[in-house]
Amino acid sequence: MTPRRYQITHVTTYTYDDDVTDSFGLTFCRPRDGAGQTVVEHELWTDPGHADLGSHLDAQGNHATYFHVTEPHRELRVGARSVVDCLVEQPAPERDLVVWEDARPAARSDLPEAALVAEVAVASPLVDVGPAVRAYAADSLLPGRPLVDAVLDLVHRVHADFDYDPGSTTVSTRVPEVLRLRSGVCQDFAHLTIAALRSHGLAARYVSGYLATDPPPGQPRLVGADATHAWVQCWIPAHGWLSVDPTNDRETGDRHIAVAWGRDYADVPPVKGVIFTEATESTMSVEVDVAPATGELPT
Amino acid sequence: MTAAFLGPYRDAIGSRYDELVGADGGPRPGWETLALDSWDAEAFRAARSQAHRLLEDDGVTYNPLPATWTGGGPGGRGHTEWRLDPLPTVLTHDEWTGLERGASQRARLLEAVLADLYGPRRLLTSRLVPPELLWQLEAYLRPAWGLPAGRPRLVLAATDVGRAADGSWRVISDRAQAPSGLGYAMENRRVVARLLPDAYQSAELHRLTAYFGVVRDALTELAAPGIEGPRVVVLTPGRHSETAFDQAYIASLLGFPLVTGADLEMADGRIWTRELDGRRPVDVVLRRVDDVWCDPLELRPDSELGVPGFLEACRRGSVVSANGFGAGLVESPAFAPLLPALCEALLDESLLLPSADAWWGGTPQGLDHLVTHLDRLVIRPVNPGAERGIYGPGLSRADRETWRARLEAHPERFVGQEVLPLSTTPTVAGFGLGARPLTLRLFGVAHRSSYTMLPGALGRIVPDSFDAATGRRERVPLSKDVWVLKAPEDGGGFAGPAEHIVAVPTGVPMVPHALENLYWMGRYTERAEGTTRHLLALRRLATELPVWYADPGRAAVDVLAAALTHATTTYPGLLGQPSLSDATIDAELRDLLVDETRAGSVAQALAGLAGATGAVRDQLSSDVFTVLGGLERALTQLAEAPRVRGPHILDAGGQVLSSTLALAGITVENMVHDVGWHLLDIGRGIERATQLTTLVKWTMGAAQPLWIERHLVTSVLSAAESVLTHRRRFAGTQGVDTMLDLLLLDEGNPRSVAYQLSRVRRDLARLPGGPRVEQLTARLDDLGSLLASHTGPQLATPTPAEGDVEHFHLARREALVEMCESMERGLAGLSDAMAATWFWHPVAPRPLGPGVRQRAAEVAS
Repeated sequence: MTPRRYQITHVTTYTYDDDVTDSFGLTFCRPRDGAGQTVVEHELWTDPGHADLGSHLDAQGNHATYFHVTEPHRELRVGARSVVDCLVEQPAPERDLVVWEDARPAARSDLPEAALVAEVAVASPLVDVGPAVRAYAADSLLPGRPLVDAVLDLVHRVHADFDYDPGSTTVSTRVPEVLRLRSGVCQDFAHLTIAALRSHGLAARYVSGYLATDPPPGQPRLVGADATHAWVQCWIPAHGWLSVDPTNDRETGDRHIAVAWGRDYADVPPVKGVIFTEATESTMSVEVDVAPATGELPT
Repeated sequence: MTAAFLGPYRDAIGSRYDELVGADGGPRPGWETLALDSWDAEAFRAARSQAHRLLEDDGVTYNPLPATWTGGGPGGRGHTEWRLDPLPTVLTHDEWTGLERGASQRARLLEAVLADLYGPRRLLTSRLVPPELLWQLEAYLRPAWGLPAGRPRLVLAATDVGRAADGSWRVISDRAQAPSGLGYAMENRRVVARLLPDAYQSAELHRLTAYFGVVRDALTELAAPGIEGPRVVVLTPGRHSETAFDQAYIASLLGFPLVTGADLEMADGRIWTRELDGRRPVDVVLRRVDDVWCDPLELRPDSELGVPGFLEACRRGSVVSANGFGAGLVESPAFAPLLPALCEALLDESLLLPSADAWWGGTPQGLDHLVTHLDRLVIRPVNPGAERGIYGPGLSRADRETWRARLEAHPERFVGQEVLPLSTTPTVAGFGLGARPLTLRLFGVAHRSSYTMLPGALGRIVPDSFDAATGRRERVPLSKDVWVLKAPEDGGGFAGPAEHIVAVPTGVPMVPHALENLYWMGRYTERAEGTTRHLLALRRLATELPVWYADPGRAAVDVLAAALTHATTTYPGLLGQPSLSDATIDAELRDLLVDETRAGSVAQALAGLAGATGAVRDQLSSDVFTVLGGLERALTQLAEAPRVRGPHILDAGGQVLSSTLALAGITVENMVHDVGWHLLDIGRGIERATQLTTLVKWTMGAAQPLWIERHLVTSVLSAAESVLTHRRRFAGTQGVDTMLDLLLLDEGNPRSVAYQLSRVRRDLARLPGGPRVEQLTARLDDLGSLLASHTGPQLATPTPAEGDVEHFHLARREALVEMCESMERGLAGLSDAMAATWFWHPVAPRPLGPGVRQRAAEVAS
């Protein structure tokens, strides 16, 4: 199969009404390798330029990059440029691999890895697991239903029941509030889906990534392009992870480029940081472009 | 030991195991070393108050509260005294050997648990640690994953133990985050060694001081390989922390500088101290700040106690944190039930020192046990920071039902731990000895692949009273020194030298928090002295001119009194009361000496002084604390006196003056004249200049009739400690002009404003320079010019001009007042500019990015 190649530019701009003397940042902007993805190039830059840069792999194998800007500034731009090859079609998991009850880590003491994936089967800082979301999920997680069916049904219901509305929620909106509002953005849908799965003991993780901006000919443009995107992966014992995008009601494909995963958004924000300043006002904007890349494939 | 002595004590024992009295009713081996039979009730009581006094002399505090007032500079005392029972508790060599081996093995085990759970996590995949337990523990610090291997996470370990019913020791809890108490244990030993010199000299007991050498080596050896003379610092949350004394004392015992997060910075891939003349690298951080507060970039973003980038520096291996990030995980009581199996699996050994029996609610059997035996368990949350536990035996029936429901709702969140009966130990109480329940905190340090234990412990007496609602005991428990006896064969007659503190020069850091506290130490000392001199001058004048003399000069008392209220801003004070009586004056002066809640009082200045000195304990001689302790006692005595009269005031004021003089002497004679010393001296100079200016302005600003002014001149000279100088220089005159000349303009008088300016200038010249220091010098020059543009006679001349004889005595000295006010403003500006130059706290770190409203752009869609 021929990989599809993308060039991703992701620029975050912060402005302040006074000098910032130091900016420390930690970014999760470098896409992951594996599962049909190969990172061909990656560069993280800042403007003003960074005095110090470091990178490491976190506990989940995500690439984290640390930067320190020491030149006083009123505008900081943090940019990531990546070139990634994605395999056109990834084999979708078979539908009747396992019934969902047997996909719960607690039920799989026969598999050593179940002890590790159990990390994403419990509540996490941004994902509350309560009775309301459990009841919502129960309509999809019917007894004896194959896991893949159940998860796709849940994702379908989330897509149908919730409105995509960027104004309705804030960064601090929790799952019960999203349930009540019946609207949100991709991060909310991902957290909601994760909470629904975890409330029944399934292991589900949050994936932060990008969506290709322009659709292939004849296909619809997906919601969430031109920004960072988020979706969900659910553990399938002895098989791997089922990757689903509740915002677009589908399994993820070659237009989804995974950057980092964790328990929830807080584990893998694209950019976070600490500044030293007397400034009282600040703004922030994000530009993302995911374009098909031309150029030679690596040999 | 005589039966007469043991009898009543034996009757008081309510426990199954007593440390002193054995099963046969006689004393256990080892206790003869205390010669308790030679003590009587009076001796016990005397020892107790002596212990209190010695702790006060050393300035030993626990649980200081935040300042209740907002004065200039860091302030507030409001501390609670550390409490120590004068009698040590004794452990024989055999007993100790068992404890030592057990605690050392336990530390090795906990380190192995950490190494696995932050690495391969085989304990999880093999299910020796239930995944559903680990994954709910908040102390599992994911950003700590992937730190360089090969260094222990658990460097300093502490274990709290008590006895089970059969007399064996059991662990109550483990301290792995940033254990406190080693400093208190050492201080307890120092005090007891002074209390019981004979017993101490003759006892064959292990000394503690050598242990600090081991800790120092252990920390130093943590540094990245190849570093010549690694630099270790002690990171403190600050002087308001619960165990601030312990932190500062450890720093001075180890000879490492004490720093706050704001004194450190991450740059160019490593951690530095921010110092006056630049920055110096740090290789190892002994961390007394809990890990989640240490790095706002990757951990709690709201923390101002940490250093952004600290974790990144650790990850690169350029700095080592002790304890390591994430070590607090094993403090969770949830590990207690697992340790025997973990010990077999990881160390291939049997667990020597087990925990008190404990059950995790996350299994059906565990929950069943918790619910059934609630009345004899301590229920502890697996996430101690997240919620409270409960002491089961104290629960009412209704509370028990509430707790059962809570346990059944979230069983996985709780551990039930058997309440240990604990042993009792003799403790001075009431009119003799009581038998009180005892726990010990044992300390170990990772050194060359094993743990070396302190041959002693921090003993604690568990109070009888227990608040069942909160599960908390009294805030400041009584502590105990713990004597560990040597093996008979090690003894050999010579008991070894007394506990001798080897002070290691710390290579005094010029970090902002230290400089700021030294500066304020200078200012508070001088402020206490200046205010005291003023109030003493007032008291003496009132004595000299009793009301019943009906001397019109008595009005000078009113002027001096009003000036005192103005100068100290202790309104309403003595204002607006015509013809002050001595009783009114005495009541006010008493308050100004002892009432620490009154802004502007001597007591408040002394409280600020105690706070500032405590924060730079590592840089000061212990004599400083002895002086402050004595002063504290004198003022307490005054505060408690039923009726305060003139002589009491003169006495207490005299004590304040001799103490501030002693402090001045100690700092001049015993401190290296380094940057910190110059800052202290600058603080003194600026404060003295301010005090003088204010005194002169409020006493001399309005011209008075001669018969009043004559007394004022003498009193002001006395308040400015310049009576003799004035007499020598201007024999026979008592003029305002000569006085103003001497106090304001005369550079040769060490008590003049002009002298203070040149003193500060001299200090400035000894500090690392730079444009900001030049600006400070320029400010000083301006103040010098201000003085130089005046003369004594000109300042003494009142307006309206001479000739208006009739209203002469109502006239104000406008030139003087104006100059004094310019001087006050100039000095305050100078002080602010200094703060901005040297004590600069970086503005608090803030999260990158805008507020939540911008979220649509920030977050994934």
